[in-house]
Amino acid sequence: MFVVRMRGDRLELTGPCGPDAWYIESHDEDDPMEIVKRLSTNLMGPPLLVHSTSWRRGKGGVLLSFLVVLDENQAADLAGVPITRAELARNSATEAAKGISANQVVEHALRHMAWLSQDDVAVRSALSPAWLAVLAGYVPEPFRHIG
Amino acid sequence: MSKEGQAAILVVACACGILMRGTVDEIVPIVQKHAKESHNMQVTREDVLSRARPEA
Repeated sequence: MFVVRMRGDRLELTGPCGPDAWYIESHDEDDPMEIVKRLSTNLMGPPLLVHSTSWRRGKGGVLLSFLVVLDENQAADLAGVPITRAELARNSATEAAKGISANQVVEHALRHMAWLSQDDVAVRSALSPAWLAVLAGYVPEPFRHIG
Repeated sequence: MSKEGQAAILVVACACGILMRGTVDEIVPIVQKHAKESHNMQVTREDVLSRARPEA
């Protein structure tokens, strides 16, 4: 999970375990979306938006990436770091990238949000004008396998 | 080194960066609570103690 909020005119990464990827286990009986929403709400308050943006292979199985959007003033006690742009990890038409960094996962997640902000009225309605302005700088991308 | 009469303090570092500390009896429920609430993980007492290190 990547927890993101707007600070001024920039997006920043935050989270209950620090401004970094937040790993959560999902068991056979779990609904990943329910787990993400419940833990986010319990630790930071109800999110504005939760969306799964990509998947990749990882140690022990599949890693499903989620973007969790908080209100700008939510969980103010949690440290945040500005999100910087990154090139996407890519490979051939039939193979995923060999390696991927957290920054690249976040980059793709925000490009996916850029797409949804144009395509999905529920997503567009949940995001502030400041968010939409930032997403306008991202090339829209669909949900995909990224590595 | 612990003071005479006081239980040793252990430290557990979660992979997410959070540090937790306490005596053997304190740290197990602390880590289990963090694992469940922050990571949806169930960890046993043995898991916790295998990751615990004496506080420097």
